[in-house]
Amino acid sequence: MRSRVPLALMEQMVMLLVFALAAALCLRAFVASDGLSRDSEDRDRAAILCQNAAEAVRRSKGDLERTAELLGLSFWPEGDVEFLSLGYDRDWNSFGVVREIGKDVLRTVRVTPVDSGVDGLGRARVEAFAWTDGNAAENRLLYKLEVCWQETETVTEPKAAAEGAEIDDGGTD
Amino acid sequence: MAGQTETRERFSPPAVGGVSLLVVFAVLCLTVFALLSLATVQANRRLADASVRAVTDYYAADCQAQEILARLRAGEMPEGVEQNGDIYTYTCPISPNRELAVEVRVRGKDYTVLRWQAVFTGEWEANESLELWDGAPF
Repeated sequence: MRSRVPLALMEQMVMLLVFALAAALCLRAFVASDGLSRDSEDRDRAAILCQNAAEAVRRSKGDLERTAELLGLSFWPEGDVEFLSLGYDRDWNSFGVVREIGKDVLRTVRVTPVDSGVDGLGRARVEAFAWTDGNAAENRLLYKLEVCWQETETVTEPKAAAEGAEIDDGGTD
Repeated sequence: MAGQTETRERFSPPAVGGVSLLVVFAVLCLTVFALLSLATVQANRRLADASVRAVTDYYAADCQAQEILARLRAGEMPEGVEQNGDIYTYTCPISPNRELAVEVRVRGKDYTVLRWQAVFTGEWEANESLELWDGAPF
């Protein structure tokens, strides 16, 4: 009777190979899942922060310093600024208002007032970027929205108006 | 000779096939978990896409509504706006089944927002498939 030991060893070798191959493929799938999950999280966080910034700039009617205040950021860079740039690290922990992309600033939300082309209408573009490590030239747009507002004050009392009550609309006439 | 025969008979060969079964089971488990992980991430991604699209669409409609309001204040009469005295009504589409309904009172440059509401415009169908207790005693 011939020994079966070589056959068993061969089987183990082949199965080890099959297992290694399958494990490598599955590991790739897990890594891909992790990457997709991080991307989704980044976009979700970017959308929420862009909304916050959009509502703040709408409330402040395009005044960037007031927008920063409304967002709870006291630091303000000296000189004129064309846009407000809020810096975050990879996990979206805030660095406040930033002027440049630094080593740790890997996510930014930028608020830029733009011309609306209509009298009395303010408009701003709010964008979120992901920056490549240590490279201030390479960025990826995560999310973008535009927000508009009326340049002058108003009084909004929809409930009273719906009931037909007289409304003091804060008119200037 | 007799002794050799006894030794051969006592020798039990290693089991062949056990390792294969174990590896097949392990690979199956790995594959199932990997597919579950990918499916979960894809579902989360679809949800995130829908959520982000909803926000983007709302702000686009809001901007459109603000622009129409600014034009009304400037004395223009944009298309799609209904006027009833000094009250103007219009809608801006957010998605195929949602729109932003706006009602404003405009007096020269001054205005009052009477309604600024995202409303559902699709057909609502009650789900009566669940057998719920209607409060009547047994």
